[in-house]
Amino acid sequence: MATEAVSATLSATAQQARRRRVRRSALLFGALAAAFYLGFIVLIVIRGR
Amino acid sequence: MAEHLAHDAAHDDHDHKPHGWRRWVYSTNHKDIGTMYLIFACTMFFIGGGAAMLIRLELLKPGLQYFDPQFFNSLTTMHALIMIFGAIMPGWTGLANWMIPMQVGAPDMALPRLNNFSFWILPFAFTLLISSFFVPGGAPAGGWTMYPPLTLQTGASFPMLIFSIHMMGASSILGAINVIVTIMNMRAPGMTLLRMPLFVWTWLITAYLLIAVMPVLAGAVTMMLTDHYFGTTFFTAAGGGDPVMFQHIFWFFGHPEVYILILPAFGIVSEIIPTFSRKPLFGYEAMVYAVASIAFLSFIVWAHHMFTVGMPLAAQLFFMLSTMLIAVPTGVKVFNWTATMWKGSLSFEPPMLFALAFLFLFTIGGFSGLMLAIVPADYQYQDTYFVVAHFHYVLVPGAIFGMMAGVYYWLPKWTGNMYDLKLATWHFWLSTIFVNVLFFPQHFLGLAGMPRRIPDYAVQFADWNLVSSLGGFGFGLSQLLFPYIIWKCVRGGVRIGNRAWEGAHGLEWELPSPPPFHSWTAPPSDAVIARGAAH
Repeated sequence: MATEAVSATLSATAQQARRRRVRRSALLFGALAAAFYLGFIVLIVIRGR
Repeated sequence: MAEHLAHDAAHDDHDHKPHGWRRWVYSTNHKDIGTMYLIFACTMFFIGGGAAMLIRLELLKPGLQYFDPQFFNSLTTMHALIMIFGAIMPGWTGLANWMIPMQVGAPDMALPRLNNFSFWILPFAFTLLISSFFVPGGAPAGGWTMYPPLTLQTGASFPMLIFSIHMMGASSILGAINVIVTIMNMRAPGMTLLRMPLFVWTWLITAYLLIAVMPVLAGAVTMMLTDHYFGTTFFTAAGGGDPVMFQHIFWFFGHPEVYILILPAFGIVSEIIPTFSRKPLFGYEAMVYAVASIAFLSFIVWAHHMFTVGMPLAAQLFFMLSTMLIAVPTGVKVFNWTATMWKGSLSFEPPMLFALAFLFLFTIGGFSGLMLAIVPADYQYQDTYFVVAHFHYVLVPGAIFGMMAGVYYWLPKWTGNMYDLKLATWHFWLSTIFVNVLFFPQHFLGLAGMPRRIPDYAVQFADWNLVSSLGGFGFGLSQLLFPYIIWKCVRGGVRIGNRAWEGAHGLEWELPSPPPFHSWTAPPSDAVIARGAAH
């Protein structure tokens, strides 16, 4: 894989840190999108009461 | 040592490049996925364009000619959905896939499998949507804005519409996450944020917009789905719901969506004008801040799409003034592009021609947008062909010309061959002439009071409709040149070196043409980055 290829130039620790950063930021933005989705529905339910 | 390892790994990778259909179906390579996105977008452009031709055919003369009104309404609805979600958005994602890793010095996108998944959702979403033409009641006909209660009356195609919108939204959100994560984590050391090319900047901001607004659209259509099937009354007045609330939510998505469609074009034009002016971009940082300001303002102007539903005077004033504020950062961009050309050594190859047409014609769309922002004037223009002319000036010579400029700019890099410049220049002139013949008369029709979304009209509108339809057929036919030029270039042509255009700067031009299967298997050196970032 390409990531492995470029990783050859990075130390194992840097490589692991980058993987962790990638995973963490992907999950963060995924959670943000989910929060917007549910947030708007909840907002309207509350407004309708 | 490190470079040796990188080289070996890259070489090894080349040896194991998948072949045949597996290369495409299982692809995790950013260039292959980018190519699939672009082919998909081009296909949708011609399907959506086919619907547009049928619309213009019906409007060629007053009176009902060929289609019943229900089918005509399906055509306008599907034309918009296909062009927005099927042609323009995947087109930009295709260019992002191809260019962002190459421009930031990364080997690939950060999440390659997610990238594959985001693409392969799309063919299923659009097969579902387009097949709704063949179910009882026909395709959705309530307009791309899907306003209830009208859209709640859609027949068997209603769940197909809702599910396909959900799938398109999921695809866009996943693609946006990939873009942000790639730009934030995969940049080569030394590629600081303010060294990034403008195309990367505009896509980063576009991706943030996508994450903020696509879930809002998904939420709105989920509520419509429950209104239709589970007895809720979010948007049904009879049950205490509020149909106008749908419009507020839809346009909270819809206005930033307009910038999602246009910001990457700003990035591309900001790359092309300096290249063919042989000068650095004027005011690089101002351009970045202008794009960010436009993105911010896009969240606080949504109600200008719905002035006529009735709202307090204070709200009208707020949305009118905030909309007018957008002219400030947009003006910064237009003046900076002009200043970049000032005293430059200009040449007019096809990418520059398309970028210049973008500059002139998008500005016309911007000005008619300012007219629409004025509340009392908007009361006259609302739901007329003036609005149709406005947004088509923004989206066709704006977004589509921007995309074509990008393809003509980078196609030699992708293929290693120069395309037929003469034919591409013909494509430019035919497109530019016909796009104006098609859309400019629609301003007059709108100002004279012709309503939009109707298959028939009063005879007083006949002349300009005839002109507009003829322009439409000319524009549609001239687009057939585009895939032909690309196909011819892929098959062969004059070989080019790393730098297809003498004035081009950026990391992508440091790679061979065509670039290797994986772009930067070893990160570029700081000197290479500094040379590329000469904006």
